[in-house]
Order: sequence, then structure tokens, then C-alpha cells
Amino acid sequence: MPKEVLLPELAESVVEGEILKWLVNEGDVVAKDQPLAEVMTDKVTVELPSPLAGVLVKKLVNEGDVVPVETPIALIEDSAASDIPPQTTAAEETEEDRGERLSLFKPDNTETEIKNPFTAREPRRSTAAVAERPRAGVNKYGRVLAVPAARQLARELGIDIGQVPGSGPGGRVRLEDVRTFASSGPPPAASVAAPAAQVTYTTPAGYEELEERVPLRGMRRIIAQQMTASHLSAVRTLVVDEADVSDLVALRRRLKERAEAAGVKLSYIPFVFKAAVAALKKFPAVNSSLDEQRGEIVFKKYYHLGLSVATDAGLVVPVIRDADKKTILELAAEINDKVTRAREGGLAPDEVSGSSFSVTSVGNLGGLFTFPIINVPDAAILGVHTIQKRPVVRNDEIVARDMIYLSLSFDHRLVDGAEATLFLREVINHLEDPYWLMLHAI
Amino acid sequence: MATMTLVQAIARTLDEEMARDDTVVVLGEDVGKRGGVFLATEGLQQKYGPDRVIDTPLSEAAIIGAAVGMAAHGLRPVAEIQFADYVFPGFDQLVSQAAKLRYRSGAQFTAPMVVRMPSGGGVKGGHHHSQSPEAHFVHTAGLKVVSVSTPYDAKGLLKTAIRDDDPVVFLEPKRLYRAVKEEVPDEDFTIPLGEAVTRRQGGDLAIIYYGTVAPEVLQAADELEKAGVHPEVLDLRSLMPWDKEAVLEAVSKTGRVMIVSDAPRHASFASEVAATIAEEVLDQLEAPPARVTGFDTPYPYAQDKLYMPTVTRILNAAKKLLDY
Amino acid sequence: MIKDTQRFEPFTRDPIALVNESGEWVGPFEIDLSEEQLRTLYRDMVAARLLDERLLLLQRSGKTSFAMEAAGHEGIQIAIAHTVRRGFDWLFPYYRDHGMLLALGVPASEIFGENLATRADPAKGRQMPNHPGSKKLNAFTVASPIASHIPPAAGAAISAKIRGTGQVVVTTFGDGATSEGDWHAGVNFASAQGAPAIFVVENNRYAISVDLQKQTGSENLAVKARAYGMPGYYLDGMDVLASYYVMQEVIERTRAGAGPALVEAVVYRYGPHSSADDDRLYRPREEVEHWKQRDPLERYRRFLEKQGLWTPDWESELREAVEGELARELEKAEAAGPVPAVWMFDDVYKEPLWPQIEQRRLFEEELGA
Repeated sequence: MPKEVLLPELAESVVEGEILKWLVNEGDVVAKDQPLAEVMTDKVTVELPSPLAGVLVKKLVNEGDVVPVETPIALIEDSAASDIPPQTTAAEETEEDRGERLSLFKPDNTETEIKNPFTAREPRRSTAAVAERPRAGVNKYGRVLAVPAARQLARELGIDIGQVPGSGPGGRVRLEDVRTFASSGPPPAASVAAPAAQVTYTTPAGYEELEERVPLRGMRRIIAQQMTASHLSAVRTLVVDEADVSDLVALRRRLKERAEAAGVKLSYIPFVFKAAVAALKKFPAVNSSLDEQRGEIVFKKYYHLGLSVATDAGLVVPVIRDADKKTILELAAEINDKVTRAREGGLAPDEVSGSSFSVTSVGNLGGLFTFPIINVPDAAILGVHTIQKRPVVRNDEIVARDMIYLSLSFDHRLVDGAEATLFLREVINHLEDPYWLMLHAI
Repeated sequence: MATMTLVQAIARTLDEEMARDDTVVVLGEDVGKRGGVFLATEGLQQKYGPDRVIDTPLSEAAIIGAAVGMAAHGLRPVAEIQFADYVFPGFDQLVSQAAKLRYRSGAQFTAPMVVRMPSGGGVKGGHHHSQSPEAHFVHTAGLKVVSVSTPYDAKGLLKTAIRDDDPVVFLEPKRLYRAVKEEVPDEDFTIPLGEAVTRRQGGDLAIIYYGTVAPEVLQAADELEKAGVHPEVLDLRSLMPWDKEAVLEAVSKTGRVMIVSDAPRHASFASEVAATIAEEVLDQLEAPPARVTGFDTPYPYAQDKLYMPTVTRILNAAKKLLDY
Repeated sequence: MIKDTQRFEPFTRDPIALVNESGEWVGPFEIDLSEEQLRTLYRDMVAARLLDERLLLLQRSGKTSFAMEAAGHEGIQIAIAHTVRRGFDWLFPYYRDHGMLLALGVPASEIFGENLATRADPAKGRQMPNHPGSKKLNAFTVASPIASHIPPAAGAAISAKIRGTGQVVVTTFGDGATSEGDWHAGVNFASAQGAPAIFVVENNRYAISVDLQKQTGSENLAVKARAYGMPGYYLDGMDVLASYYVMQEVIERTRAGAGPALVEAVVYRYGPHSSADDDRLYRPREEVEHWKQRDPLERYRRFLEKQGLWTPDWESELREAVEGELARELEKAEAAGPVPAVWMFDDVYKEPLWPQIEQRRLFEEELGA
């Protein structure tokens, strides 16, 4: 009898994994601990070692499949196993069974065929029922669908059951959904793999040859999931304003060469960071997060600023910790280092996590301004756009000034509209008067 | 220690109890000379005489009613109703007399008696030889109700029932009379009423059952194990009182539960267990309690093995519970 | 097994009577009862009649929910109470037998207690009025379902036979009961076992409103005994002496091992079936008046008077004494106070099971206890 290889729980609270690539073929002889496949979870990517030696008889999942842990993924014929079937002992009744003969009724020994719904080698929970919605399903009256135990746990944890993505039929919240939700803060990637209203794509007739289909996998898949998570978990609202950064442009120009001489390439971003920190100190809600499990708003008294960086592999957000305690020069040096390493794929996990607020520089390729995606569970992200000379009115005269659009995308659950507007104003105040900004320098 | 079938365990226990206590008498149709149509009383009349092993007229009212009078008068009668399906002519005696005697007399008169009856289907007996009427009895305050499924339990619980000071309806799954052999200790032992027994341990779902459906339940449990699902399997054995604590514990452990019985579903004992679970441990449920039962039809002849919960029906229910 | 000294024949054409309506002894043998015994029969019939009236009064004054009159049944009832061995033989009475139980020795306070559901009721207020019982006197607690006590009576008799106790079991019931399956089941089983059971039908000709002609096609009820292989005595149940002597002989015969017997005691109930019935709907007043002429008390009074055992003074003394005793007993029953509500949960089983325990807790919460 071949034995099943189950997808192990590769890390704490990991509920499923994606088979990125098979490393052995059907029929291959595999040694114990020989890597069988590359598996990616929302936490790690690992090579799965074979639990036993033998012949890989069959792969039960394909590359790109996402399956829950404990799902059988392959069958291996154990080389140590014997082929001899177990002996059956014949229970011959030698004595006449008087009771059987004299009983008025005898047992109906006709065999009833067993149709085992579990023998289809499907995971314990049918995959069809897994992870359909970003939020709990509701009935036609808007009442949340949830199993009683899930409701109880959500009550205990102070979680609004309606916020928990339900993996059951119709988006019913199951107990493990609440556990997952509680352990990962934002909705787990697994739960938002497909948006609520899944868009069906059909190739227009006649254009089949003009399409190329690439599996949604790896980084792109993670990005897709995280974008969806952000989009669906925060109540995203936008405020846009403009700043006259002519003085900042002049200042930077003056300092650029000296900085370069000190080995640092000076961009505008460190100044934006400094301005942001000053404004965050004044508007703590913008530097907060929602702890939905505990029903608490977390106001952070540290300022870890993320910076969105486009790389060949996709979007990466290196985090500059304690930005409030660093000089502009130090910030510039650290940003340059991390951006470089992000593009090379050399950042450690703790360098891309734990931001309290983020900045995204999005203007270089054009566009007036964008509506940035919040790096949840942050409360907001600041979009920094291209500095351009634009005609503006100063003292009733039209003059050319260095202007920049700033867009603040914020979670309206945590930050009020006026607060967001005033925060943005505060950032602008500092950027427009870099000398004032200097007073905040460390 | 001897290996015996369920019906042999019944006969031995009756013998032991009659030897132990000479107020114990057996009465019923064909229980004497023939030793019962299933041989549950085989050899007793030869041993104890026609006064203590009484072949009665063909009248369930007379059998149960007389047992009430005998019990009130100081005997410990063990009445046999040939088939549970035939208890109904004697139903009034059980409900109006046996169940209420202690209560209506303010405990002046009592009816320490046992009414044994082969119950359940699986013997190609059609609707008048296959019913499981336990709900009627459990619904009647004053009666205790036992439903055994193994030789060991049959001995331990029949002894308890005979020694109990209240009327006990003792249901014996007729299809299992000779289906299993088990080692049963020779010595005197009793099993308390209201104590369930865990047949399998597991954390994925709980299967609560009793009586006739035991083979299907255990086979389904094996199938589930093969599929990597570990059921907690609980045989209630005693239906009034029933082991609520053990049931709620199994539900707490697993969050998913089914109750399996071959009786029709409506107002069934399975329904009572399900309702109690819903009332008491709703917060711990991850799926609604499932009743896996016979259908709300009379017991059919041609579909004998398909009416009672099949392994497939149990597995389907398990799947629904896990997928919920 | 029937003794040579037997005086009565089963299956007579007419009911056996020993005293005619004028109060003359017409029996073929000498009365062998003492004056005291003869007077006691009268006293107990009067007491039964007065108890009956008292119980009706309790219902009319709203103290009980229900009453079932037994006036007209006293002859056979008092005769049974005086022919069984009290506290030794077993009785399985029905709901019109309170007079019989009183004569047997059940304290009136217990009977009142049962009707009023006070602590004086040994059955703890569990039964509706007119459903007494007494373990002390082996009087099986009355159950409402007609004839449901017949198989238990057979069982008790079989038990007495198996154990050789020498007890007889006397069961009483109305004419309607003979139509029940349970009646057949019990009588048949007792007969098959030769058990010491005596079945006495207090035939008052009506099962509520259905008269005897609609109840059976048999010429009378005593003849049913033939089919069960037992003697069936056709008796004037309103003649207390005939009832006494027939019951005495039947009990002796059965105690001696001759097996069960059936006695049909022809009686009449003067009142409606119960306080919830109106007998004008189904029987003419003249019929009631006609039967009242055969009243067991009046007929026996005339007998005693002719024997020189009755005077108007004794009658008033007797009535006064009985009334006084009943009044005191009623007072005692009322003073015992109502049964506590939580008693509802006791005696379902020897020890309450968890459902009773849990529900009692819930109930106490409801009571605010």
C-alpha cells in the first residue's frame, strides 16, 4: 500500500500552501528527506523533504495548486513495506448454531454498498468550500452567517464577526476563520485569494492566439492577495493637496554635492520622511492601527516609515525604523541602501515588515497623482508625486514655482477627514519651509 | 470468562439473577418450554419451574400489567415482549400503570420490573417486526430505558435493570443477538444506568449512538479513520437516564456531532439529544447537530437494510458536518 | 375444590338477594352474624353515604375540582370491606370506591386529603379527587384509565399464588370496564393461572351515559365468567347481606385454591357519573326513583328494625357521631396544608434522575425560591 505524503503545517498558523514546483517525477526513487517540491505559504517558501524512502507513485496535486495543510499531495510506495496481504482467518462454525436455527427472525446479512464520500482523496474540507469571501457571508437580512463556536470565540476576542472572512459555504464564518483572523490581524491571504465578486474572464472569440496566459503564482500572487487585503480591509479615503517646494528644491540643490562628497545621494524622500514624522507626532491617529481582535486602536509612539519600491519581482516596502531619531543624512543613507538591496532581492524579512506609516514615490513615470494602496495594518500612506514647475499666483501675479502634488490615502475608520486634511497640511508646512523643518532635525 | 453472543448473555444473566434472588420471575409468550422465540430464556423453565418462568397468554397487556401487579406485590418480574412492535397492546399498562405507580401512590406502591423487548430492524421483518419504539418510553416519565448493543453491556445492564426499584424498558437489538461474540466475565458485575461508553477516541467529530446501529456506526468510524478523520464514538447504552455529561463532553471536544439511531426521525430520542446539545453547548458547535436516523415512514420490508442508517448515510453526514 | 357447605350457585337467572325490599330476610339459611356485626354494616353504609355527600359538598363549595358520587353502591362496597382480611388481602378498587376504603379502615382524613390535595394525602396530592389508595391496607392506588388495574390485579394474584401467601385479590370496576381489552387480558390471565383473584363488577348500568344494552350483548355480566372457566355470581349489590354472604363464600373458595371468580353486583348510582355530568341527558327521573326504592341503606334499615336492632334515636346518634367524625377528619385534612409545589418532582423514580433535578431547579427559580 503506498503511503500518503501530507502537506505539513510549515509554520505556525499556516493553513495552506502553494505547490510552486515539483522537484521529482512520478516513478522516481526518492530518499528520505530528499526535497520533493517547492512549497510557498504566505509566510515562507520551503523545499518539502520526503518523509520516507520509496518510489513516488503519484503526485496528487499540480504545480500552482493551493491546498490546505494535511492534504495528501503524493503517494510513495514505502520501500520497507511488504507486499504480502494480511492473512484472513476463516471462522468456520463447526457446531450447529442451534440459536440461529431456532430464532424466529434471522439477521439480514445482505451487504449494503458503501459509498464513501471521503475516498475521493479530497482534503478533509472540500476545497470548493474554502476561502470565498473577504468578509463574513450574510443572509438576506444582512445577518452574519457564522457557526456558534465562531461567534463565541469572536465575542471572547472582541472581534466583530462580520469582519471575519468566512471560508464556509456562502461565506459562513467557521471557528478556524476567527482563529486565523485573530492570529494574523488583517484578513489572511488565503481568505482573500478570490474577491467576493469574482470576475470571470472569457477570451474574445478569434483572439485566442493573441493571448498569453501565465499562471498567477509566487510574488505576483502574494501581491495580488495583499492588494486585495488592503483594498477590502481598510475604508480607504483620499485627500490630495499641493505644496510649493521651491525653497526645498533650492536647499537640496545646495546640499546635494556636499552630501555626495559624504557618500550619500540626497533625494527628496528623507525630507518628506522628516516632514511626515513631524506631522505624525501632531496627528497620532495617522500613525495608528486597528487591533480588530481586541477591539482596540493602537497608537504607536514609534515612527517606522515604509517606502514603496517597485522592483522587477514586484512591489517591496523596506522599512526605516525610528525615522524620528535619525538625521536627514542618516535617513538618506539608509533609504539608498535599502532601495538598492530591495531591487537586488537582498532584504531580510524584518526589513520589510513592521511599518507604522508609509510613503510611496509614484510620480516619475507621469500622472498627476494616484490613490495609493495602504500598507495595512497602517492607517495611511502618503503619495509623493513629481516636482514640476507650474504657474501659480503669488501676490496677484502668476509666477513659476516648484510644485508637488501630495496624496494621502487613509483608513477612514481610524482617521477622520478633517484630521487627514490637517495632517497633510502639516506635512506641506514643513516641506514648504525647509528651515522650519531643520528645527526638527536631530 | 466465557465468549458469548448477546442473546446468550441475556439468558445467562437471567439465570444468574433468578439463582441469586428468588423473587425474580420471568414471564412472556413462549418464554417457558421454548425458551423464547430468540432463546433469550432458554433452559430457565426447566431449571426454575413454571411458576417462575411463566408462559403467558398471548396478551401484552396481560404480560406487562401482571408484571406491574407482581412487582407491587413483592416480586421482581422480568417480562418479555416478543417484539417491541407488539408492545402497543400493553402500552397502556406501561404508561398508565408501570410508569406512574410510584408517583400516583406517593411511593406507597412501586413497580420494580423489567420489560425486555427485541427491537430494531435488519432481520427482514417488515414494519411489524423491525421498529425501535424507544422514544415512546423515554417520553414517559417514570420509565427507565436501556438499549444495549454488546454482550458485555447486556449482562451488566440487565443485572442493574433487574435490581433497580423502578420499571426499566430493556431494548435488545434483535439483529445483533448472534452477530457478535464477546468475552463476558463470569463474575457478577453491573453497569450503572446513564453511563455511556466511548468506543473510539478522536477529536474531529462525535458520533453518538445506541443499540441496533452499532455495526454501521463502527464501520463508518473505520472508514473515517481511513480518510484521516478521527471520530469520537459514544455508545449511550442507557436512554433514560442518558449520559448527558459524556455527550456534552464529546461535543465540547469536537464541536461537531451526529446522533445515529434507526428509529424514525421526528420527535425521536436522537432529536432530544440534539436539542439538549443545542440548548447547552451551542457556543461550542461548529456545525448544527445532525440526526442520522431511519426515515419518517413505516419500516419497509424490501428496503430492510437501507432504511436504517447505512454506513454511507453516516459518512455523508460526517462530510456535511466537516464541510459546514 | 368448592366446599360442600357452599350456599350460592353461580349463573343464577336473577340476582342473589337475601333481604327483600320490605326488609324481610328471605335467605335459605340462618343469619350467623352478631348484632354488633349487623349494626356495623349499617353504620359503615351510613358513613359511606355521608362521606359521599361531604365530598360532593367540597366540590360544590369550590374546594375540590371534581366529585364522583357512589350513593347506591354501598351494599356491595361495605360487604367487600367486611369480607376480606383487612391489611392482608389485596384490593384493586376503582374511582367510586371511597366508601369501601373508608369501611376497610382508610382514615377519612386521608380520603379528604386526597380529594383536597393536602399533606394528609399519602399520595402527596398527585391524583385527582376520588383516586385514593393505601399501602397499609393493601388497597392499590386508583388509576383513571378504565380497567387498567385489572391486569395488575391478576399479577398480584399470580404473585400471591406463586409465593403461597394465602392472600386473595379483590378487584372492583364498573360495567363499562368489562368492554376493555385490559379487562379481558387480566381476567383471562388470572384464570389461566388459577390465581386467587376475585373480579367484582359494580354494575350500575351506565358507563357515563351508555347503558348496559349498548355495552354488551350478553344477558348479564356474570355470564361472561363462563368463557373464562370461572364461576360468575349474579348478585343484588344493593342487598348488603346478600353481598356479604356471597363475597364471604367466594373469597373462601378462592382462598382455598379454587381459582378466580367473577361477581356481578347489580347496583345503581343515584347521582350523575361525576360532578361534571348531567344524567338528565340520558336517563329518565322515574328510573332513578324506581331504583331508589331499592336503596341499600333503607332496605337494610327496615331489616334491622324488624330485627329490633334499629331505633330513630340510634339513627340520630349514629349520624351525629359519623358527621362529627367526618367533620373532624376533614378539619385534620385541611389543617395539614397544601402539598408543596416542589413535591411535583419526587417519586417519579426512587431517586430523581438528572432531568427531574434540573427541572426542579428551573421550577424553583420560577417560584423565586
